[in-house]
Amino acid sequence: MTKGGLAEDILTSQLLKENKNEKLKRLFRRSLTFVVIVLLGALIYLSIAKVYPFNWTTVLRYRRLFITGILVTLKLSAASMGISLGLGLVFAVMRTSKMELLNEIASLYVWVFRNMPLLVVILLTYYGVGNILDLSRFWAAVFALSAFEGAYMTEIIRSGIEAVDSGEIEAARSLGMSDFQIFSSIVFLQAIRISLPPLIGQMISLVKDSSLASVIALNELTMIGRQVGTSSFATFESYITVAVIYLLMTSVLSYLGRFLERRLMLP
Amino acid sequence: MFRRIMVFVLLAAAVISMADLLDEIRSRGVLRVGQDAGYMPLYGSDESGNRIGFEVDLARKMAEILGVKLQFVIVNWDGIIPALISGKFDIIFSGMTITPERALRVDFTDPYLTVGQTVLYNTRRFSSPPSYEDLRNMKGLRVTVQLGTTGDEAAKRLFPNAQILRFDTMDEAAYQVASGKADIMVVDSIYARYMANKYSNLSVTGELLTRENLGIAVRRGNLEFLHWLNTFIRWARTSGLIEELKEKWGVEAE
Repeated sequence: MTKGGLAEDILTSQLLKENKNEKLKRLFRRSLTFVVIVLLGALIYLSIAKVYPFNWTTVLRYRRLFITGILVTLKLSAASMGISLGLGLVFAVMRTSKMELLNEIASLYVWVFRNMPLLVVILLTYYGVGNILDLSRFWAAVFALSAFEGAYMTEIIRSGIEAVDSGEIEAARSLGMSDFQIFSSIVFLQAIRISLPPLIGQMISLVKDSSLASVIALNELTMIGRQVGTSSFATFESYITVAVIYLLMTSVLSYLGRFLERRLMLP
Repeated sequence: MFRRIMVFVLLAAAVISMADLLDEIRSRGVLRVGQDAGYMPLYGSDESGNRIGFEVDLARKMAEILGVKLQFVIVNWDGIIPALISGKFDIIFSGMTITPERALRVDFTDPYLTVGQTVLYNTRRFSSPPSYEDLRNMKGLRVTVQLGTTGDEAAKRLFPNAQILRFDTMDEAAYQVASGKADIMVVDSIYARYMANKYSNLSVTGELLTRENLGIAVRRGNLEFLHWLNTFIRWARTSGLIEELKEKWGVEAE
């Protein structure tokens, strides 16, 4: 063992130690923040409780209703996520295609659905299109949400496609790859990876936006919250419950998003 | 010095909060009435957005006697009691049924009308009036109600096997029945009869599923104002004003 080697060893062990210290410090800071937030929350809760007598047992009695609400919201969100992602992919490809007509159609789609309030889209789908096609409440909500969020996803994926390095495409072309080959093996996956963070953000929006489906009397979480609020008179408690459930659902989504991002790390 | 100011401010606040709502309304010069979108013929809006209806006329008379202006504050039905409690308006004069549960949160006047829950149905869906027994036994019956009303409660209790669809306004719930998106609506008899008279494809079964008294609600503790409102209602009954307005608006109730 040379002297230099020893010094190096000491240095790395020191680095490791510092790293450990750093980790401990971060853990400490995090738990401190957590405690402060909990204390603040408790303080706010108790001061509200002085003027507003909280009554959690009544809300607890309605737990089965809340569960059905959660299930409907999950089903609605999951179905809309799938369809809107599909719409986003198809229209994004059309939007970046060299064929003028496809490009125009996709632009029209994005223009229509990005410039209308979601509430109006839902009402139009249920009372307008739904009347003609005899759509159920649930599917009317799914199609309205999908079409609306799909327009945003189109733009997100389009920007992902356009962000792929043009040098790579030129290189592929000079190797004699066809347009389809270039798209499927070079552009597509990179575009998805690039647009992943904003796509996850859009999915979170979708879950939150699904609450608007209560306007057509769909029994999703927000509707259940309002119903429990009116029949138990524990309005505040009921809405707090609903808010916490939405927070949990969207947090799971964003955690999933971060996990995916790490797994699909760009080189 | 600072202390003295504080004491003064606190005292002033105490005096102001002790003054009854009746005095406050008169010194403010405005009576604020809370209602939801519409419950014709009791209240609603005409083509140009003016409030019209039986209760609107009664409220006008009230404001006239109090010598104040009248202002309507329109909120969603499921938020109307919280809005009263937080002071968005002075009274709920909105066809509200007096229930002991609601009376835990607000004070009610004497009743000014007696109604009942009834079934509004589409004549194309049912060729003859369906009986309660028939409806109760129907599988997958779609019942619409207005969210948070006594109709909502009654539908839950009386049609346990039905699918209950809740809407923000009465008109939205009635539209579902009129357009065939739902089978029946459970709603106050006054509204049901009004809609059946107005639209040829809507009809009422006639049997009352419940009996309910309508009263005006005020924030708890305003006893003087509550007392005045009761005096007003008794006077409106005996003077014939209520009968006259019932005739004018076609209110079919006791």
